Amino acid sequence: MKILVVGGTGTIGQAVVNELKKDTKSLQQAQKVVMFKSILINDLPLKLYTNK
Amino acid sequence: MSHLDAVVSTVGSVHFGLLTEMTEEQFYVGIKNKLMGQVNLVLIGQHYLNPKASFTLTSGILNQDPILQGANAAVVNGAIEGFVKAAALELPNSMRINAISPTIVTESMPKLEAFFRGFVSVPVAEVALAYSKSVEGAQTGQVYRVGY
Repeated sequence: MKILVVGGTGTIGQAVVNELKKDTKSLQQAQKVVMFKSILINDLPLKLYTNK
Repeated sequence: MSHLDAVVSTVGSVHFGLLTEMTEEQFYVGIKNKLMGQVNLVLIGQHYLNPKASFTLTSGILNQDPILQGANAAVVNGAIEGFVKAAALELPNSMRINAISPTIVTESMPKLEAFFRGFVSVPVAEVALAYSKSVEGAQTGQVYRVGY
């Protein structure tokens, strides 16, 4: 499951990433964090969180 | 953004200021950033995400429980929630979309306490659970209010 978290380094964003990294049902086959990648759309800082 | 299963947006700026002093340009801060930033994420992302992928956007409490100097935030939050409800009807390929509307986050209180006098804050970890519910659940077109 690949999830793009926009603002993944903000207060809420960090907590969301931490929550999504837990091995919940839909992510149970996933590994841990693979990478963060910054891109930019309309002034919003985007952080890419992927689970492979 | 190809091959993504979920897009979560947790950011967006608005302008806080007195209505009697607010300019159109200042009002556009929230419109262009928090509103259109997230709307554009969906408009663009819908063409690249996997079938059954989800969008989770962020609104906030201020359209339901307004504060002084919060007119810009109130308008933007309300617009985001309206967009989510309407977009859920039209997103292709069984894609889903929800919004998270948290009250003031406990971890942000030191900076924002003066604006939110009398509000009960919610720990950010509790807010994060709503995002998990949106991403890993099955609902669409919903606004999850957290802490109020």
